[in-house]
Amino acid sequence: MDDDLRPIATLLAKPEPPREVELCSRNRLLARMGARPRRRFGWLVPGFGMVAAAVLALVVGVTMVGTTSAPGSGREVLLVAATSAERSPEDPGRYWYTRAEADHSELVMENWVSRDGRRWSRGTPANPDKVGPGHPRPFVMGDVELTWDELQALPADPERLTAWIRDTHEPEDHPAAVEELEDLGVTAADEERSDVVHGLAALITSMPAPSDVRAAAFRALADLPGVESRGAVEGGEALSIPTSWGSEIKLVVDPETSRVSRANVVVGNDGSVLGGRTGYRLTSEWTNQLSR
Amino acid sequence: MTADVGEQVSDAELVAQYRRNSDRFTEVHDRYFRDIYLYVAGRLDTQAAEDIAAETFLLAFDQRDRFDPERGGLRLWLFGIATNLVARHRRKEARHYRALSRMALEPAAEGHENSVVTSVSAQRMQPRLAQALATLSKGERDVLMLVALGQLSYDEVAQALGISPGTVGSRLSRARAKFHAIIDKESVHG
Repeated sequence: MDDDLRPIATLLAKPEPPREVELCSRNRLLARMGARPRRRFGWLVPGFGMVAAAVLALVVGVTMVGTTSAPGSGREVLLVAATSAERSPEDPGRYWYTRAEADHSELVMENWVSRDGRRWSRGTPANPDKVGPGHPRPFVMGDVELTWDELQALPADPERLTAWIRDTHEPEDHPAAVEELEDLGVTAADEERSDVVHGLAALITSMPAPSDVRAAAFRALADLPGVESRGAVEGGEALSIPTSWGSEIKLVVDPETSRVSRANVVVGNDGSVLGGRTGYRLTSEWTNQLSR
Repeated sequence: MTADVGEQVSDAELVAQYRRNSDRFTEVHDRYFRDIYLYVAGRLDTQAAEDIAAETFLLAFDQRDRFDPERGGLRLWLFGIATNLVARHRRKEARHYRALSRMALEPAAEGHENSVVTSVSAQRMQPRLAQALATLSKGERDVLMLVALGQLSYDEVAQALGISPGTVGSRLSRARAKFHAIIDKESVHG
């Protein structure tokens, strides 16, 4: 480089990428390369998980007594949301529309899915158009891919729903991913629990499940140990739901409407997981407009 | 072409490997993530760089069959993809430079600069530099940033962007002229 350009490099230089950032990116690539869609990838990263676990342990240690079902607790918020979900009328819209906007970049992912399962996408490389009309597996829930019809037929009972996800779970089999799991000491039980939590969270966050199935997913989440309320924020109540190995899913849920307006993790329609450090503003609703 | 010969060969081998077995594409990521991230982080910010660097490799994987090792290394190809992705964030980039030019002058962190003299003059220069960056056209900025942040040679910039070396040279000259107009003013009045 010529000397007169050196001050520009100095002015704009940033620190080396944190290890977890590099791993997250690598895991999105792995998902794209055909490893099974694994939300857990983003969550394997030691940097995210361990700090969150340490903080959570402190909080739980101090406030555990008598808070399990107090009004305004995480569990309570989810149970109220379950009732709201159950009461919401079926919407006659033609397309299920989802949108995720990143807080800190201009990344926006949009999807429209018609009732016959055709999908239109707009957005980023993680949300490619080629999962286009006629793609047979339009939804990713935990590590499970679902067709429209399979989604409509999910059990509407919390325990049976959890059991269904657990039974459908398959251990990772992509060689590069298996290697990474082993390196991090992740057990089969860890994997399974993580997939149940991520699956239930995906169900309430972004999927057009029938009202009674959504309600069951809220109740199943409410029954998980360690769900915490972080108080009222814009758009609803902030919740923290621990997954395996110390990481957490953070959601903002409006208990009155049962809509999820924010999350710290979203899944692209190629199955790759985005998130961890940035948050996402979410929209999910029925519409009659294919594009706007 | 000034790139190291050994590096070229291993890139070509890597391409041959991932063509036989696409799992090998993770090696492309492991080798070049850092360079791409730091380039984008310099132009935008670290959070945007997380997304854009990751997307660079997703796109590269999708387009891997179109990559021609004869036309230059993997690294240049990736810089080209990242530069196209940065283009979607042009307003954010402009905001970044304006913010830098308004920044109060803070003392450099200890050990950050090798020389106290360089440090002081570089700091005095910084708001002006950032102001000058904001005045560049997209083409001038792409070239300048690939040289300054990506540390590419002029020939490599030409390959990464798919333009002629002559165009690289003329864009850099224009960028330099804008800089000197602003910086010389600073030395006279500062």
